[in-house]
Amino acid sequence: MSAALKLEGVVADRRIIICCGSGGVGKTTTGAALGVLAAQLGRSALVMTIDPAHRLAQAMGLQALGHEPAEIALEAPGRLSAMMLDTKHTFDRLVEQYAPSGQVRDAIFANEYYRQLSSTLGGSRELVAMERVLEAATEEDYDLLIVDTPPAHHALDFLDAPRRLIDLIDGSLTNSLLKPYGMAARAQFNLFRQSSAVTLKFLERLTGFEMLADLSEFLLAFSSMFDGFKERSHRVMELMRESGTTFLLICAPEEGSLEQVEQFRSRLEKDSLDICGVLVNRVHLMDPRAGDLDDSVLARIASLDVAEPRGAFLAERVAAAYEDRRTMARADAGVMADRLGEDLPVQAVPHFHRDLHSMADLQAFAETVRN
Amino acid sequence: MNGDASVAALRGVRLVVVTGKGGVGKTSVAAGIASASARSGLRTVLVTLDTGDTRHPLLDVPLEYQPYQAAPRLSVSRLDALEAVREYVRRNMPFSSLYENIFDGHAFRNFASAAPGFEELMSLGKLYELCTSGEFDRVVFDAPATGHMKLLLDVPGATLRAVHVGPLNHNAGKIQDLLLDGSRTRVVITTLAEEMAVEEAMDLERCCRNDHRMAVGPIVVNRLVPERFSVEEIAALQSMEASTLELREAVAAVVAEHAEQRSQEEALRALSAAGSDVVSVPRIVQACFDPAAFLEALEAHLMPLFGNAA
Repeated sequence: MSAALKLEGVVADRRIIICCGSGGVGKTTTGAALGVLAAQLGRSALVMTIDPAHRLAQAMGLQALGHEPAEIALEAPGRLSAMMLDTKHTFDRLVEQYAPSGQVRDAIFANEYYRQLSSTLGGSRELVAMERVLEAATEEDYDLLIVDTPPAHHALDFLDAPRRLIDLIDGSLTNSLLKPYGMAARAQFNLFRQSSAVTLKFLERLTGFEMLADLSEFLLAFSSMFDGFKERSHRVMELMRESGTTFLLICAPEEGSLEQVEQFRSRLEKDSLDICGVLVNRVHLMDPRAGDLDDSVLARIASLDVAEPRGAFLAERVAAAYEDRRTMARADAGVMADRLGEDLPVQAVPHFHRDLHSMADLQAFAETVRN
Repeated sequence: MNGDASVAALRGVRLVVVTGKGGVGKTSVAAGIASASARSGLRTVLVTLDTGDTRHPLLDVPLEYQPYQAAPRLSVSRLDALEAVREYVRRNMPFSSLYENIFDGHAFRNFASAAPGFEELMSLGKLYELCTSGEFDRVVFDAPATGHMKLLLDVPGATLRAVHVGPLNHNAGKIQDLLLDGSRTRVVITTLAEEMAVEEAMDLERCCRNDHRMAVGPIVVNRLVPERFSVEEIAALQSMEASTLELREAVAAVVAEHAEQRSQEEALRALSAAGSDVVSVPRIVQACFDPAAFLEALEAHLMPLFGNAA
C-alpha cells in the first residue's frame, strides 16, 4: 500500500500547486477546496481556474469569476482569492504586452486569422494560462497559487505546447513564410532552400493563395513578439522547477483516469518536476472487513414499521443497495491497488454523492483532505 | 422526461456527434451507439480522437487511422490530421507522389500547427470523407469535451470568414453543409445527473442549436442511481441501533444512495424544465470491469435512440 498523502503539509509549505488530471475528475473543485484549506491555515491563496463553471463561482460567493483576482468572503485566519484564466482575453493581453509597436499590435488584431482562429492556435491556450501564472507568481503578493490546468488530450500539453509554439516560429518553413507572401516576394523563392520552396508551392495548392498570404502576415506580426515569448516561456519552466512548486495529480477511481495519471507522472519525471502525490476523487469507501448482512439483522430490518414505504420487502432492497455499494467499493479499491504504484503518496477522497457547490461543501471537502 | 420525442432520434442520421463534459462517459456512450448501430444492420465506423490510448477501452481493438474492424459491420478509426492531409492529397492532387516526402519533414508539421484551425479542419474533412464515401452508413464521432467541442464547431465557419476562395474555403464549405444538415448530422450530448454537468450540457445544447443551427438531442443522462427507498424508510433505518459492522455499513450505503438519487432527481428536473429530451442510462455496477458486459448493458439502455423498445 502506498503512503498517505498529507495535503495539509503541502498546502502549508508550498508556493505553487499545479492540479493536473483529465477532464471531469474534480480538478476545479479540488483546487477551490485546497484554497479554502490554505486560508484556514492562515495563508493568502489565489485559486486560478480555467473552468468558468458558474456554480463554483457562486459557491465561493461570487456572481461570476473574473479575469482579475477577486477576494472571497471567508471566515478564516488567511485569505482566499479566485480568478479565471481566459484564453482570448489573455492572448490579447500578450499581444498588447509584447507587440514591439502599436502598428504591429493593430496589424495582429486586424488580421482575419487572428480574429477568427487565434483560440485554436496550437498551444495558445496553454501558453497564456502559464503566462498568467508567471505574472501572478512574480508580480502579485500571494503565499500560494493553486492552478487548475486546462484539460488536455495529451499529458501536460500546458508544458509542451508553448515549446511547440516556439519551435514553430523558429522553424525553417515559418522563416520562409515570414517574408511577405506576395507576388513580388514569390520571385525570390529560389533564394530560399529548395525544400521550403517546394513545400510552399505545395501548400499553396493545398490551401489557396489567400490563406497563405494571411497566414504569412499573421506570422510576420507574431514573430516580432517572439523574443518576449521565448524568454517568458523559459521563465515559466524555471518557475515549474522551483522547490516551492509541486504537481498534484487528480483522478477518478477508473482505469482510464488512473492510466492517465501514469502518463502525467512519467512526463513530469522526465523533466524532473516535483509531484506531491495523487488525489483520487469520488471513491466509494467501505470497511473491507464488512461481510454479508446476517439473517438476524435482515429480520430486524424486515420488522421495521414504516408509515410510507417505497415498496415491499425493505430488507431485500437494503441488502441490494448494500451489495451494490460493497461491489463498487471493492472495484474502486481493486483498480487503485492495480494502477497506483507504491512510491507516490495517495489520498482517496470519498464520493460525496452530490455536486459540491456551496462554501459549506468546499469546507467539508477541505476537512476531508485535512484528515 | 419527454420519452416519446427522443424515440428513434437517430433514424436516418449519417453522422452522430457524441460530446459532453469530461468524465461523464462520452466514450462509452459513443461506443454504445456505434455498437447498437452496427447490430441494427448499419455499416458503422466509430471515430475517436487521439487521446494517447493505443487501444479502445471498451471495444479492445487497436486505435489506428485506417478503420479497424471490431465486430461485424463495426470499425474503429482514430483521427489524425496529418494522415488526413496525406490521404486528401493522394486522392485530389495530380502528381501527388511529388509531395510524399513533404509530409515527413518538419516544415510541414510546423505549418500544420502554425496555421490556426488547419488541423481541426483537416480532421473534420476526414469525418466528411467517411460520411460521404459510401463505405459506411453511419459515422459515430467520439468528439472532444465541451470546451474543445465549441472551438471545433467554430472552425469551418471561421475558415469561411477568413478565407474567401481556394481549396480551404471549398472544403470548409462542404464540411459546414454536412454539420448543419439536420437530416444527416445530429449531436448527442452526454451528461451525469449533477447540477454542474447538467448546466454545461444545457449550455452546449443551446450553443449547438442556436449558434450553429445544428440538430441536437436527446441528452443521454448517464449513471443514474435507482430510486429504492422512501424518506420514511431511511429515517426508520437510521433509528436502528447499529449492532454490527455490516448493519452500520448497510445503513450508510442506503443513506448515501438515497442522497445521490435525490440530488440526481433535482438535476433531471432542471433538464426537463428546459425542455430537453432525455434518454436515461442507469448506473452499471461491476465488481471487476468487464468491457464486453458493460457495453452490452449500456447498449440496451440506448435503444430508445433507435426506436426499438429496450
